[in-house]
Amino acid sequence: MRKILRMGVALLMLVSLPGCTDRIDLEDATLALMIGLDLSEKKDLLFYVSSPVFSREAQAKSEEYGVRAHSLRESRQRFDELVSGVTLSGKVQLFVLGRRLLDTPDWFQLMDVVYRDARFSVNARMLVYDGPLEELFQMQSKTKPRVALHLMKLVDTANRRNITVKTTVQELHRQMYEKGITPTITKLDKATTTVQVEGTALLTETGAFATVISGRETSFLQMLLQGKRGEISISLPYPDSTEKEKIVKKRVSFFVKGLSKKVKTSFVDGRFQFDVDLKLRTSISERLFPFDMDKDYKKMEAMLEKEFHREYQELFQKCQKLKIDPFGFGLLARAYQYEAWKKVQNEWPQAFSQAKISITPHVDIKGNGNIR
Amino acid sequence: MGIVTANTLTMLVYLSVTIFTFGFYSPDEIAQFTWPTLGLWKIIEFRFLERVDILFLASYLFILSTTGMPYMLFTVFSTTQLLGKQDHRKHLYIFLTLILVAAFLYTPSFNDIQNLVKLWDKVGLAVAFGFPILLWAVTNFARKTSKEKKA
Repeated sequence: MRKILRMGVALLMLVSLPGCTDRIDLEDATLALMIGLDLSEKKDLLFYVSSPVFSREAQAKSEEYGVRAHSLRESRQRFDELVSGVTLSGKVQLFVLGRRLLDTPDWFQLMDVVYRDARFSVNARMLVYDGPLEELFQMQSKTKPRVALHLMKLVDTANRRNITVKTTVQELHRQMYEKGITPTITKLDKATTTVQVEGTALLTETGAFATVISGRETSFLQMLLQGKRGEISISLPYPDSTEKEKIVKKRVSFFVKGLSKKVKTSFVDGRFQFDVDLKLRTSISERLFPFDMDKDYKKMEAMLEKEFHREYQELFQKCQKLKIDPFGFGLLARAYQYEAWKKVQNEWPQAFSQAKISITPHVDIKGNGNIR
Repeated sequence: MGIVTANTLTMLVYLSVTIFTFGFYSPDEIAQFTWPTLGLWKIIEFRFLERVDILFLASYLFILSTTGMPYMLFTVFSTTQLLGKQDHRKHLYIFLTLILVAAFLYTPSFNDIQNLVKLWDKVGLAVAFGFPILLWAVTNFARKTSKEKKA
């Protein structure tokens, strides 16, 4: 009996051995941490890759390559001709698109391999960079780690402060195929010596570039999309008649500590109508002017409500004019007004641009900080 | 009792898969996938493990095997009875080796798999509903003829 058991264990171990045939040493692998897709001025597709170098003899910490190719898979072949190891895409952290590429129709088709090949990481963050990607990939700073790792941290922490969205490759797939929402991607821009988060790029239903909203506007978008996640800090001007002469202007900043959103969806006279009711619990973090909070806190709340209302109205109007729905109102339309939605589901951005959206913010000041 | 347990287990598996995939994917997106459940696992990433979906696939084989096992039992039992033997274990060993050999010799293409799935859908229905009726008819007929003989 013992013998049989031993033989069984030995057999089991032997059977699991063939799994090791396709193992790969880290030294033989070139891990693509950042992949870039761009369009040259001559309308050629350019592919970039950035990967860390683990060799002790090498001077630089990461290597970057750019090749001309027709597709991502073809570019991998070209990369294999250039780099020492085999290019692996399982650890991709960032997926950068050139701003010019977004104006090309059907650019999303290029992403096919990302979803078809099960080895591709779907957790990579999607970025748009304004300018030639060459700059971004060649950017090396003495004060920063490898460019891919730096950008990864940059996007993640910016998202924690809600000044940009964090759209993964998987999430982009959802936003592209979901009829009731249009895609949103982190937008990067060139700063003097480095790169900065510019805000959020809003794309149309087909993935074309529509507009970019600032980090401040992104906070408002994120509040509608996800509620309170991460830290939301907003700074607003306080109405002042002598505004222009002053350097230190009247401003008030506050945290959003919690919020609850209720949307009433209806279909009136051939138009969708969304009545958003937003309850905000806030805490004042900065106030650059004297104000009697004990007596006039109602006035402050009313003023914040007015500002919130104005900001949201501007954002809604902007999006409706461009026929994009980054807020996902289409999802609500499908859930609550299915009959009406069914007729317009394939032209939802068009129907959304005619929809009536009203927002009523209710601000509740819960905290005032350490000083009066 | 066994039937209730078996069917409940199957239902729970199907129900959880349906709820998870419907919750994860949007209705328009899910139509894009051949194997949505595999895609589900891809968003989980560990520092030490890249492909969580492969682990899932390995464990899912146990669930999948329950589909084939009844058929295996039928086959082995029938062949032993046809040959007039008592012990069906020997037949099972032969059958399993044959399956192993077949797996080496024949690798179905993507299209073959789709066709096989369609075929087994029909075969499964026939075995579940058609077969019992057929068997009942045959036994009924046999009983009648044997009664007539006696008479």
